[in-house]
Amino acid sequence: MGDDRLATLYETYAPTILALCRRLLGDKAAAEDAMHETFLRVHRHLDRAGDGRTAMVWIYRIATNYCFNQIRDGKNEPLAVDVLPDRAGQSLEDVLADRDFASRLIRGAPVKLRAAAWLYHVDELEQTEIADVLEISLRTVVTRLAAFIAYARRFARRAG
Amino acid sequence: MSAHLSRLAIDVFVVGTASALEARRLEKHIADCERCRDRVSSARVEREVLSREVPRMRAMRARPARLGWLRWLLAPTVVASAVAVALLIRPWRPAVQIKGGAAFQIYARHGDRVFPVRDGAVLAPKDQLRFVAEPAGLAYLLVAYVDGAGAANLYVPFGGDQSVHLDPGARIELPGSIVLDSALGPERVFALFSREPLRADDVRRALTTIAVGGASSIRTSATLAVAAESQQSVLFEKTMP
Repeated sequence: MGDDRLATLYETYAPTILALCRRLLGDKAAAEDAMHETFLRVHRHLDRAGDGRTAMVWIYRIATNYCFNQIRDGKNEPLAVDVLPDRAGQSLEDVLADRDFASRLIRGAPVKLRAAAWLYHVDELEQTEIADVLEISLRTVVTRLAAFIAYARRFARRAG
Repeated sequence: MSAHLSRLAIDVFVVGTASALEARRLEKHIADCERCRDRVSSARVEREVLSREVPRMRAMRARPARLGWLRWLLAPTVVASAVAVALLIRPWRPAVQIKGGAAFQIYARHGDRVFPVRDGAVLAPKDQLRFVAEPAGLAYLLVAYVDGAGAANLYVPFGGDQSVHLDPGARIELPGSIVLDSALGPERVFALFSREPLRADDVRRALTTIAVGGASSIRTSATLAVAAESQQSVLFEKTMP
């Protein structure tokens, strides 16, 4: 029974989760590892999976947390900030609208802000969706996004 | 961020786990919004490609052993101002079946240093690249690239019109080397393994859809919309040393 459930979840969500891990980690082999780790955790806590969208958001959460832990622990090396393209003269909004630039900036941001900032600026989740995926309150989402913007402004000033 | 669908919403739609009510809302938005329609199409293609790449749940995942790079140093290098690839393809080891599927690795030489190129690597103009492929049963390979200057073409076969035939059970070092030109910015190299040869024109067309999106599109488009049974891509950044 449990194995059938796991097989169904894997078949349905593995490609989506692999794509998510690739976006987060950039590296193919690391992304595949992350996808496997995610489904090991799914297997361990199968009773919490829920159905439909709930299951998907839950697996999204596991994968997102796992990938950001890998980044935090330095197992997935971020690109150095000094190879970022020159953005002098552009507004912060324009700069963050470049999702690739935003994702690299986020990797250098304070650890606690990264997941929320990434979901918002790169995957363009709504604030309520971010609260859902990270299992935090909407207020916390708003606070973290504001703190990230403050960080990005300081970075932009330093770079300019 | 409310003007367009989030990536989560697109995934929910493509996977088909939206409730009836949400599905109607998403369908309506997609019908009215070209940007989201494009993203849904891309997500569908990506899902289809990755569905084939996701390992079977109980399948063993074996990593191919890393190649020694001494052979790389000893191999003759073809140097040209832009790009040069030898056309001759030959296996250089006896057939080895790789359980983990087809594999592709790029090795770079920068000055005296040789290293495997991983996603996100930083390389410089005039660095030299060599390719190693393990087709694992898929007899045809095509290697293509797209770069920040908008160039999109084939590395293997250089100037050919379809995939090259490989010994499907071998680990193959593609002879000759690529010398990186001076166009700075991101470059993504795709290795496309297939049972039947791919047409170069189809691959170039798919590359062009990435090229028109510019640097950011090159950095985020890890898969190419072509009928390859297995594909891998490696992204690197060309900067001045």
